[in-house]
Amino acid sequence: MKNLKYAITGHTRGVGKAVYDKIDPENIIGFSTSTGYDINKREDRDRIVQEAFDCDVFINNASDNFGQVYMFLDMLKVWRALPDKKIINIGSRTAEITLPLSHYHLLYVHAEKIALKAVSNQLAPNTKCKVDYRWFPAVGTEAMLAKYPYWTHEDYITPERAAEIILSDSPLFYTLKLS
Amino acid sequence: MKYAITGHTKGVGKAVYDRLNPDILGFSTSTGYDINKKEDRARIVAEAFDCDVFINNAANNFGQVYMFLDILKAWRALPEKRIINIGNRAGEIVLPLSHYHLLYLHAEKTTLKALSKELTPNTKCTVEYRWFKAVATEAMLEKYPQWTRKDYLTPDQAADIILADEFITQ
Repeated sequence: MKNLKYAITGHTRGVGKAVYDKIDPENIIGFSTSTGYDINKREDRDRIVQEAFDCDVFINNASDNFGQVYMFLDMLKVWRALPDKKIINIGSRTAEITLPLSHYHLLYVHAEKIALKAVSNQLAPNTKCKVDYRWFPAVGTEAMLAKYPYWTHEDYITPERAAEIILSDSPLFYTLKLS
Repeated sequence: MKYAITGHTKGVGKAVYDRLNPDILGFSTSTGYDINKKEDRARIVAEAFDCDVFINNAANNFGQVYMFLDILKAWRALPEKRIINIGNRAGEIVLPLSHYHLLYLHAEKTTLKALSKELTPNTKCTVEYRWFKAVATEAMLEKYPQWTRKDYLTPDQAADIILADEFITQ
């Protein structure tokens, strides 16, 4: 069986890095702001779409101010009729709750993930490529652990665990078990 | 009742505006308010703050979604306020693969609909999402000359739906 080729956005930190490190370097392409790809810029997304076109799986991981939604739409537009391709949109637990009025500093983050989930579900029935939306509990990335020093191991999963969920063939199992 | 509306110089927005004038503030790109610019949305929120009803009508490349979020942030704890998000029949269908030139429009309306529903259980202000079938604005009739009268609503009929006390699903 041939090795699948992956592309991922946001591969230099956190969960994206864990996924990127897990796959053989020759089988994955990473795109991050720090390596010259800003998903909020249309021309940068065009370059990502072009360079990732021959991959089999696109992991839409980087998230910033609706840039992740645009990234999904742009990738879907070119892959929509190709049955061998797969797009995995990385969601967040924030999309599973109703945002409390006291947490409106998170409104844009929350809205971006709601949008990603809604658009994934709404478009997927007609696309030939596979479209997945996967989310998991809080992840203990370095940034998150610095922000929430009182977290115990009960409160989060490791980036490696999150990478397993993303790359698993049966995401439902993990989702149900962990939520 | 004092109203505010975006996109008041054309189509459905104009029909609503003309009916409620002078009890309505209008904000359009042509009058200096671009909903895709953060600073313009901040001015709209400030100037519309004392209104009772905000009709989020102008749509452009997710700008309508941002507009909703920004006014909601300011009004979320105020029970007497009301936001009406104007949807579109595009938000009701699974987009056919042949129609992906409408992808951004479809995604914008799908998002607006999802957010209207997902955020409202906690908000004190009222949030509504109203949509209707095709509207025969001048621009649309020029684009689809084959339309007959039963294919569309007039802008005035759309304004009726927007301003009705109860939203009747189309």
